[in-house]
Amino acid sequence: MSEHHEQSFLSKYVFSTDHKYIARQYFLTGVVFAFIGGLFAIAFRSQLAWPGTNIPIIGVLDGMKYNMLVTNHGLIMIFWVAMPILLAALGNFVIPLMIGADDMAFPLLNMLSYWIFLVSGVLLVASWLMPGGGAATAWTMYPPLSATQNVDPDAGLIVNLLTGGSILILAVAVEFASMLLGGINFVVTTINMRAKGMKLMDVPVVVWMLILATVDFMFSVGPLIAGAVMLLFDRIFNTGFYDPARGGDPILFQHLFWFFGHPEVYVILLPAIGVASEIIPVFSRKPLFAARWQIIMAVSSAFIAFIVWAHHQFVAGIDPRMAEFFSVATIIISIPFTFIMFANIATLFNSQIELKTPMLWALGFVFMFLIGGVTGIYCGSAGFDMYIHDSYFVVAHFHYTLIPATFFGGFAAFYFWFPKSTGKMLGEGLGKLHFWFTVIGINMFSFPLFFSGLYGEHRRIFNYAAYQPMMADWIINIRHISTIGAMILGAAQLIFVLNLIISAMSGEKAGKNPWKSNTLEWAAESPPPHGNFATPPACYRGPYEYSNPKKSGSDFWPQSEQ
Amino acid sequence: MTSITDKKTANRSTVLTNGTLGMILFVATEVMFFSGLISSFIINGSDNVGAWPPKWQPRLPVVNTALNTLLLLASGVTMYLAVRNINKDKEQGKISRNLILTMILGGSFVAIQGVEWINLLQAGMTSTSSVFGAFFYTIIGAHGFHALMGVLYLVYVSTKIIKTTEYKVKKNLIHVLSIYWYFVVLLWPVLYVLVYILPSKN
Repeated sequence: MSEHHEQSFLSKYVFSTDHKYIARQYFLTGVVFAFIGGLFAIAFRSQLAWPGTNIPIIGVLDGMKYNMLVTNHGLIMIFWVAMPILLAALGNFVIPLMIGADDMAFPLLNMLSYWIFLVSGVLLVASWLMPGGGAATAWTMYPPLSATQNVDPDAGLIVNLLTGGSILILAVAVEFASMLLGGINFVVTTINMRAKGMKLMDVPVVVWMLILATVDFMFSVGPLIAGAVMLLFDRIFNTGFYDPARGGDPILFQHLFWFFGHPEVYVILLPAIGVASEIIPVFSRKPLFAARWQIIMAVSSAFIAFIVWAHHQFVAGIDPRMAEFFSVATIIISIPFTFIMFANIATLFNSQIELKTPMLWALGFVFMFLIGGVTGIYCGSAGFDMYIHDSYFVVAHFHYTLIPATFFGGFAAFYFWFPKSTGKMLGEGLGKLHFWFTVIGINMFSFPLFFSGLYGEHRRIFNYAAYQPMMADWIINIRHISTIGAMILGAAQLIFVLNLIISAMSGEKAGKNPWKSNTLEWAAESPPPHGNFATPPACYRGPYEYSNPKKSGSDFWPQSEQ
Repeated sequence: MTSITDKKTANRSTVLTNGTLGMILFVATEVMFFSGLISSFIINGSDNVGAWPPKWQPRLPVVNTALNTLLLLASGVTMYLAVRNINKDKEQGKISRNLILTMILGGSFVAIQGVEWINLLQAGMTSTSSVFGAFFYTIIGAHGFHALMGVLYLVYVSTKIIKTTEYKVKKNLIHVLSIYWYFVVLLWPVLYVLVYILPSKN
């Protein structure tokens, strides 16, 4: 524990086995991909709002280029932004610190996990440079299109391997391998390396949620890898798994994909919910409402997550009796999440709310996500879904779930733990500006799409000029508003970069515990040294003992204090 | 997994070591991977009523593979004996003998599978000749790949055990390895029944 010595530059920053630096590596890589994915989105939204417009670098979009951008925007945002930031970076940073461990259980595997992740990112970029361009099959990669795009059955294995679609499958598979190594690390660390006296219910909610997300990921990813292997074989070995003409079944891939794809939503959502549940009590100086029940509800949702997947396939020709089951399961899964959201709001009741930046983001998450969650119940009902399937209503719905989770949850966590990670404070003024512009951006971008979606605007069309009913003035206005909203959302992130630079140059020093919080990480120095704690901390109570009348002198009672 | 020695858990006693727990989680994801393949195979088989495997395709070598199955099951037994030996802390030669037996049995299983593949390919069953062939080579190939990795893992652990002197490290290495090897062994009968026996009755 104590024999940690000075490390060289290379072993500290590049080939680091320290969970805190691996977290930074994941975060920075995720941010770079977030900018790429965001620019892709602004590019194709510009095409929708002003068809035929000349976009810098990319030029005028044709249908193929448009599809390529949409496909890769989705993939990047899910697999190379949300996963590395919310699961890998956040988990790596908070899990060992919050449970009072000196590092992850397998530090070397942890390092490997990041480098494998980086390889997957390089493969993704390489897939865009292949002959024929990147994959343009939508992020769900449904066959038969994804099994045949740019594939020449008479050409050899190598030729078909070096196509956008094939390299993309490899990139996704490598990314999963990386997250799998990370996930094993998270679970083992949390089970085996908690501080002395820390019972399971003393583990902070955010760690619980990260572990549940990891478990959901690990148990759902296998079938998708099986499906992806079969898809890759269809492309490079000319097998016929998904080719109906040869006895294959394209719907099979949809099942394998969504068996993973839907739990994946909760992989992203659960950590964000955990962050909100962690931050809201700190800034309302009250115990988290129903903390134990929040955990129980999250566990139940992690189970139900496995039996809702076919609600993505209501129009794929599945058995209506099956659709009924999946509709009911989907509506049931909203119960635990509703509970957690309202428990978080109940925490605010009768409290003294401090609207510091992390709190703003956490509250922003709760309220923005509620819009996404409520519309999810509509989308989950098979009857309604048949009408709005593949329309902009669905697009608006999942952007109202994923943007709050990834951006609001991610930024809440970032603003909250940044002082711990670097020892410096971020500017409050710029942080609030960043928050409000992001709120304006997401609402301007997503909300109008509900209306055009309900009117019947289909999401896979790159130019509506040929569809006169879709060229009414009000729909064109909606496209303009939405695109400008996306641009505001993108531009707002520059405020964040500015804030980071200012903080790095002249940030106020953060003490050990700037937010007066209870959890174990605040007992370490800011920034924590290699090995985290000077002496291994012990845990004496739950993490949410704020304003406890038994504690005299202060309104918080750290877990490590006797 | 075991190439990374367990970090000392600072201040709590644990039911399972880090390595054991990590390997159990890894095997769980592997089980889900094979579940995906197997359910795809079964669903696809039920789509192809009466022609599964297709009539023009060669029959699978059910009897030969049954003998091969026994080889793999025997390697599971020797693995179990190796674990028992290390638990009882017997002299080192004995441990290595059971491990080496496991290695030989596992290696022969993989080799015999390879020979059978060559026969099937020559008889005209390829990954493109029918979806059945594609599934056969993917599922059995995935298992064969895991078995091959398992043999390499056995070799790695054996060399590591010769070099290491600390008993706890040796014991942990064998325990973690055994979880993986049991997975390879116990998965096989399931695949044998589902891929070799059940379709051949149609």
